[in-house]
Amino acid sequence: MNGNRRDIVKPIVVLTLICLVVSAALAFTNSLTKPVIDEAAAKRSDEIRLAVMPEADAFEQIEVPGMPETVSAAYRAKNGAGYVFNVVGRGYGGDMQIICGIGPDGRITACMTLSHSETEGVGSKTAEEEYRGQYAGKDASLEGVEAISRATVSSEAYEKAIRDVFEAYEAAKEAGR
Amino acid sequence: MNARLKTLLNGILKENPVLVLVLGTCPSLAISTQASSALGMGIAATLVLLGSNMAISALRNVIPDKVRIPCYVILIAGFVTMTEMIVEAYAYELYKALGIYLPLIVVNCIILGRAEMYANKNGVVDSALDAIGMGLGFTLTLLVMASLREVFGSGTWFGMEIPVLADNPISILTMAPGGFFVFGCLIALVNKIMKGQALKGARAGCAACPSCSDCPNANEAQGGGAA
Repeated sequence: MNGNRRDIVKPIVVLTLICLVVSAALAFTNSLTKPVIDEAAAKRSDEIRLAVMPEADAFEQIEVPGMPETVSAAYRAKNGAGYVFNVVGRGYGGDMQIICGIGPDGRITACMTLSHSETEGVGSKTAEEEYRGQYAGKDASLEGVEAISRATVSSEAYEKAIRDVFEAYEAAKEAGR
Repeated sequence: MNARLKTLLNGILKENPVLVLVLGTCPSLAISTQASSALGMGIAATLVLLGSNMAISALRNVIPDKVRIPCYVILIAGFVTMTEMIVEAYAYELYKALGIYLPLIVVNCIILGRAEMYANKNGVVDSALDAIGMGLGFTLTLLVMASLREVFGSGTWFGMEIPVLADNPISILTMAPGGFFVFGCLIALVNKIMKGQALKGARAGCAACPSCSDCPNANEAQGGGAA
């Protein structure tokens, strides 16, 4: 009877102890690495924001009530160089993560695609400089922006996303942020 | 000393985990398009192998046979997760290059295979040497494969462009079929170098199979780690 019990108890005890020790080791490693990972990620995000708004120095995230729901985050340049918005465009193949900067004059400084799942060679052209470069300097009317032929859905999704950014920009100004 | 050296060198050619034992082929094929990622993957896998071999060897008399596989997997997964965190924190470019294959080291057959075939039957120092040897063999193999595929497939090596080759890349080498071509040729080459001894001596089937205790060929397979 004792032998049988030991056969059941020992494996349970050993397995549990190993789980506990490994979990502790993981928690310890996480506590050391998480700050490094988070800091590096924040730095990478900052670098992307600086890429669409080179005149800015540093950014702070702001809460803006009334932004369209496709705008996932809003940042303001500390030196007043404008706002940068992260927006999600509903593209042909899925979501397009776009980042767009709007200067104090209400015109776009630059916009970039962070990630997308559009068709390679067709909708993916929206991520290229030739298409997105059109937006630089445009104001809310987006006059003169031409879609990519045969990539209508992707182009329109991109345009809508940028219009959402302008909506968010208005909301931010109104809220006095 | 000689026996220890033999254990260490075993994994490099005679029982090369990828080309002779044919273990860990999935990451080998996937991460051998660029020499720099191959080196990173090799080092990560070697560190995990070292940790898991030593831990399993140290606990070999403590872990009951019934639960040995779950225990091994937890230990291996623990080491891999720690490696993942460290790589994400301190080598982000490598982290992106390895992608899903970094966490997949948990199920890399080399690691569970060596745990079953060597670490749970030998001392900590010997297991550590075996791990280093196998890890070295894995890394070197990956490096050779990746160098061939990168040099002839993209015309670069570790990112540096090579004059004539960069203009005439054989792109298929960087894709899946090319991976298999290079892999097959390397296995053939190793067989030729070892004059067929590798095939006879390696007991490739047993090295990858954890069912020693239930196996009718168990006696024949006792040689296991060193034919």
